Amino acid sequence: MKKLFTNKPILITVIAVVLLLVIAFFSAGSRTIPWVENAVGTVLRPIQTFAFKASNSIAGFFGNLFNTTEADLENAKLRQDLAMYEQDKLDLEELRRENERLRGMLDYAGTFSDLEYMTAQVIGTSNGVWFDVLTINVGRNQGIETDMPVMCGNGLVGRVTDVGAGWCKVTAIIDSSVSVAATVERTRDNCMVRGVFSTSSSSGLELYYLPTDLTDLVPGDVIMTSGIGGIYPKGIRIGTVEEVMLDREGSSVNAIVAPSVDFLHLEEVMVITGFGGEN
Amino acid sequence: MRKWLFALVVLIAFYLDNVFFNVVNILGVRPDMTLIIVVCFGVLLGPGPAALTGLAMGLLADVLFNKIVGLSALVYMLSGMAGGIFYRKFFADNLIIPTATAMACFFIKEHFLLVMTRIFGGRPAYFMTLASYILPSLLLTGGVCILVNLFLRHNLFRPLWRKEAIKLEE
Repeated sequence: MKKLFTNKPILITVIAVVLLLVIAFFSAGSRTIPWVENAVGTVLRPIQTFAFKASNSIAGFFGNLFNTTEADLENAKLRQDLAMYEQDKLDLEELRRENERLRGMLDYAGTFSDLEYMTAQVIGTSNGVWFDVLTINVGRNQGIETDMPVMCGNGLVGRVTDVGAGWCKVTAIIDSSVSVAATVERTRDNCMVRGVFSTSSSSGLELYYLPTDLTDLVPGDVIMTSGIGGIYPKGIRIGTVEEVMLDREGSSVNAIVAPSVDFLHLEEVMVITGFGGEN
Repeated sequence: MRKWLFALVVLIAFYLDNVFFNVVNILGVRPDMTLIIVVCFGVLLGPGPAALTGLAMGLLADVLFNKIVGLSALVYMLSGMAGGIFYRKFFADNLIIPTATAMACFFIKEHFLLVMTRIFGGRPAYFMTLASYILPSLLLTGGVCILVNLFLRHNLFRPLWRKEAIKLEE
């Protein structure tokens, strides 16, 4: 033990390990980000945004390359002319898609006329497969607070868990630690939906706690937020039932739910700012 | 000049790990570039610089992208120290030591994160995760580690060692 305190490298390592574990413990829940973290995040936000968009563009380029049907570009001169035309077309297509996405978000938001929203762009996603966290480009300066719900044109995305000055982190509903109180749209049965851990990109949801004698859940049923718990407003789409199963005891129904949001291609989201937990 | 090259390598690894491979991967399978760089630095530069690089890269990734701040920093710092155990104990052209260390660190890191996921309420199925993600990523990390190690030795460390040798001769 005495050797431990006299060996400087070991002592520094032990202190660093303890400090990092303490930081990890305190940063695990919802919180307002401290100033050091805030400063780092704020300084690196433009680079982060650029890097994220660049990677999406590279992935999009290779995606287009493999999916192309225009295999008749043989002539070099024509190819050059076409390249310019293609670029214009891509720009237009990008604008059209953005327009469609934003219009979809606005249309969907219009169905919740009593809520206030703030649109934001996704500028980063969590590293690895273990947690599903998005970083978006609005924060405390724009009035964002922890636990605010986040949605997009297709449905519920998640809730804000960490807030910085001009950015925040959103824990997605597909994160395996998240549960959401839900309702089956057709039968009005209340249930819970939780994220299912998946190593592949197609993360899903699981519906549970639905008594067998009270439901006739079928594939294709739409699942929505129930508003119970006060975090998520009532009536936001979560997903669609894909497969219905009985649990081991046969007393309750579980179901695999496909999320209505495409988390892989999420670019813009809306943070619901004017929701005080009442429905 | 050499310092800038080291910084560039670290930045590229950080970008690949935290941005690029999140978008471009094979069904979630991806190499851990930060871990590879940190372990290679440990074997080639020593535990101190490697642990510091791992700590800095891990903390930055945690602050910018991850759910829990400190977890990646802890794992990468310890990986740097693990790589540093072999510093100047083997010939520098030994490829097995850094590759085996990186693979062992990756295996331990992913199990640590699996336990953390369970602590925070997740329910990953162990054998499914092991077969579909941990083992393929482990092999990919090992393969990429060999390439990165060769690149680092030829482009960054060989000129450094040459300088040291000239100094010693003088």
